[in-house]
Amino acid sequence: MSLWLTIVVIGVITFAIRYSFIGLVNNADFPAIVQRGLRFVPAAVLAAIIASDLAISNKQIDLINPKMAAGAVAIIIAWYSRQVIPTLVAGFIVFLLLN
Amino acid sequence: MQPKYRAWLAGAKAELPIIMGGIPFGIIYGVTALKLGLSPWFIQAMSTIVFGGSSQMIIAQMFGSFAPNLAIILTSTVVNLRHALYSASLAPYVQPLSRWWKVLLAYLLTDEAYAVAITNYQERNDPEHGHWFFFGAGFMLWISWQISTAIGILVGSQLPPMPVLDIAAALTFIGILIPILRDKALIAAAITGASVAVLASGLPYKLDLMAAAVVGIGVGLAIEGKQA
Repeated sequence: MSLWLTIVVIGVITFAIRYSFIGLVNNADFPAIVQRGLRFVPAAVLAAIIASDLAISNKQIDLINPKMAAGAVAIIIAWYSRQVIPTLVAGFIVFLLLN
Repeated sequence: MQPKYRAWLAGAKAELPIIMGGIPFGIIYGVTALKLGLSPWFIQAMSTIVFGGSSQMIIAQMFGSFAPNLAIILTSTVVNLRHALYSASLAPYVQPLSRWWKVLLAYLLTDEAYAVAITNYQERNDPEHGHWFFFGAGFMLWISWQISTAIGILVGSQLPPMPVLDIAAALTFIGILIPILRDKALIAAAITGASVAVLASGLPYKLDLMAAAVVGIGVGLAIEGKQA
């Protein structure tokens, strides 16, 4: 199989995964527990992405570093401001000061 | 301006801070794939056909080390499996849309677009134009991914590294996440998700994120059940 064919197959599969529930299932048919569980997807996934971006360096757990400090300050600013831009700016400033 | 175009622009704007982190990633992808011996057109085509940063990095590395095609296909499938969760969580909101809208939004469904699209659906009461917001956010990420891939291919190795941009996406996600943590169950789901992601960071193929999502959902449900 050629490189190109492999990539097209991967593209089709990736699209199928993303389209799966959006396109094919009527959500009202989900069991109640699943419908309730889906409410937690954004919170769990976003927190997971944030944690692995900030606390993992070169595949090692690293809890004390400038990224974590920036993240901690960003969480406080986000809590009070409820907005992305002040959160981002505060995190950048802390990170740059510590580097 | 018509409300739908206003929603599109709002989505595009919401995506901008995430793109700051996406552009260096796209450049790194372009540079890395080139070093691994892939052709420029192929590298660029992957960004349109697959449109998923983490999976593209892994695919490029596997092509570079002459892994079997089937292994590459299976690996990228596992890496992108988490998008099924996003698809399920967006499904109720996009249900009324036409097939072509669903195809378009599914193609644009990435971590980055999901983050702003789902919070827009949950937090703002504009169900009528939520898909335009989603489209705006997804399009901005898409175009920046295509351009940054091209920059990586053309001039990437000459650019200085900017480590501060590495944390742009994480900081933006913090700004999106914190305001949606409205009750104890959601907070528990987030803390669990973060903890599991760190503890499971040894897992390959982004399965750490899948594990974090599944356990986080479970803990959220358990806490919610206790309160009810």
